[in-house]
Amino acid sequence: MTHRDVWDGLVGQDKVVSFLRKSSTEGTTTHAYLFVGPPGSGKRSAARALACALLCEDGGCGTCSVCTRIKRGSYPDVRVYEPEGAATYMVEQAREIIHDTNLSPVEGPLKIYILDRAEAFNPAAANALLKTLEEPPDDVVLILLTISWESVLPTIASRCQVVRFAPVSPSTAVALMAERSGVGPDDAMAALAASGGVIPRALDFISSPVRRAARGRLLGVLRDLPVMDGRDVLEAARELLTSVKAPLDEVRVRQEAELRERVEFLGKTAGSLKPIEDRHKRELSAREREGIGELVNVAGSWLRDVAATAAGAPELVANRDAADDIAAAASCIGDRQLARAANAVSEARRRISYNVSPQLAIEAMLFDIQEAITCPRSWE
Amino acid sequence: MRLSIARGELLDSLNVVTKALSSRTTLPILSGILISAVGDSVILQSTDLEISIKHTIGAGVEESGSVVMPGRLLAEVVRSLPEAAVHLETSSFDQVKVTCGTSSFVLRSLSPDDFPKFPEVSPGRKMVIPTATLTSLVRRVSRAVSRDEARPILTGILMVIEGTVLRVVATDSYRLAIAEAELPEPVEERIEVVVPGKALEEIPKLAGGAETVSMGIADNQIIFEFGSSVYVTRRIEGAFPNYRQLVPQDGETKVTVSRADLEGAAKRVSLLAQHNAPLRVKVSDSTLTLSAQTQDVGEASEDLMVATEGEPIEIAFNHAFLVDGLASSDEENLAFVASSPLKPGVFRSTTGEGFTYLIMPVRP
Ligand SMILES: [Zn+2]
Repeated sequence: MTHRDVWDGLVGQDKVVSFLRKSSTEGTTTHAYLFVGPPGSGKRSAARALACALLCEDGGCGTCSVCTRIKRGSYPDVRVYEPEGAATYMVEQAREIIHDTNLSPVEGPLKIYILDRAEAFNPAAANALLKTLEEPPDDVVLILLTISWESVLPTIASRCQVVRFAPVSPSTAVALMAERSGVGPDDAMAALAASGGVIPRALDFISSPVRRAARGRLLGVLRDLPVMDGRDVLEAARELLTSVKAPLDEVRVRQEAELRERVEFLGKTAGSLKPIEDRHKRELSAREREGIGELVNVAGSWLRDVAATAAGAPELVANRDAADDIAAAASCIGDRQLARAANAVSEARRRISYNVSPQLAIEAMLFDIQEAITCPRSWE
Repeated sequence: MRLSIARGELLDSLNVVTKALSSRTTLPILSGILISAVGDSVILQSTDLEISIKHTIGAGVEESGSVVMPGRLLAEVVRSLPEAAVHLETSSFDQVKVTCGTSSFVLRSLSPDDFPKFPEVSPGRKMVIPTATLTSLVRRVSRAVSRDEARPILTGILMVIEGTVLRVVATDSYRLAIAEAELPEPVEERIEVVVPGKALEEIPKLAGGAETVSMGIADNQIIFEFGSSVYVTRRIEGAFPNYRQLVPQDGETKVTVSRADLEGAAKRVSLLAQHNAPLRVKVSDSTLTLSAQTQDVGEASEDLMVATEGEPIEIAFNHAFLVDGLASSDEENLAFVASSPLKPGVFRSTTGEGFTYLIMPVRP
């Protein structure tokens, strides 16, 4: 019964796994899939697992040369694509994929194309791909990944078999993080709270001292908010923003290393580096948004913790390392105050998504939370 | 891995394999060259996942092994070296030391495990073709290969092997070219395969020096071997148009004409077939008349004395397609066969060259 295979790594997606495993063993897979699920729900791993199941001679043993190369991303008949444009797939990318689908496979019996962020297909790139999506050559499987079905162009979504991934429950996520990198439950919960429940991001978070420090600073600010004056709050917001920018240096160091490595390998032909440099720019701005998002997540989880403690359920606290401060806050902040503070957090999220300057959004959030939790307790 | 090799030979070999290096940035291994040292030779391999090239050269191998090295950089380094023995030695799991005389370089390397594998071919699907034969076959059909990716199958050349006959076919749906040649040895199985036109056109250029080319058909790929090189290309999948059905067996009008004369006349008259104006072909008695007319520019016509059989006819073609077809052949005389202004016209070789070129007519 303990027969291990390539599906074992997928935790919390039993339905998806049994469906895909069954269709791959029974030979009933279709030519185009759309995997829909929240970040961290395992779409990418499932796509690779399906590729292994279809290409490995033992149906996805997870250990043979085919399986290991698929997992490393170096098997020639499994290609992974992501948008190369500023925010969208380029028509040329779609053409490249179409051209390749019409050639015989390199090694295996099938060609598998994994297209990440399928919501990033604009109508032009999507149009180029429609015919291939609708009736690809027999030996082609296209697997498109997206976080939400609604954000994918209907022309694309309607031509794919949709496979929905469930969000991973917190307890499963904590167990998985312990298994993958030996993280203790307290650290795991705090990291998951900061990263919005996305396991790979939570693991990244734990391995970044600067990002953990930014969280620590915010927890301190939340504790001290009731006794801070306006200047203190502005100063704290400025500091938090600086601390969010600090991890970008870690990203830059890694990017520079990658670029150096590529220059060694590709020679100094500027044209060949452009796509990498573009990707690095996108990565940096995504990372910065993620950092701001982390601050908002931490504030939101701290408020939830206060509410849980006040409601007599301290076992639900995610930020265990700040449990004492949270208990202290819970003893003097009322429900309606907490609700108003939680609104301030949602408002901050909304502002950031509308491209309000992060500095302003964080300042406003801190002032609003301060006002909410220090206003006189109501007479309920 | 530890080996020494003459700088000139290594550079020649690198020049061959760098042709298949990929500029795709998503898979760094494809910008590398797989270098394997076995026995007393070194094999260099490269691939962009569409074509692969393998080249073998003699070397002093002190320790066998294999490694993937940055292709373009290695070529630049070797080009810069003096003409002497070059030593390659793996100095750690991801580094290779290159020394020559007093120069020394350390280059990064990648794991050979990730390099795509070369296909195997069963012997029943292998044949030997004189390089000159293959070159002329490709030359006779390559102009009819489509460059339009909208119908991928037409960007390929169909190769049909039956016994000792090798037939190549190409069409862009406006014209269709067929060329045939005899193989020195028969092939056991009947084989039909569509090879990307661009890839097949590379072979004569690469194999120029070798007398023969050995061609093998694997499940997914076609393998060409010549001299000390191996060139592999993926097949194009899908059904090639049924060319036999398209080519009429006979016609009402049959003309035998000097190919060079007709080509010369067609080129001259084409000068006044601008803006897609048709090139008209009129056959009556023993005269073939080419004419063209472009509004507001002028008109041209030229008569050729020919041997005719059958009915007189007037038919019109796209001038570039007509000239292409005539320029593709080396025959002294070609037969022109046509039945109606609405049906395709066919040029056919009159000796054993096995050349057929069919063009769709246009409105006169
Ligand atoms: Zn396997």
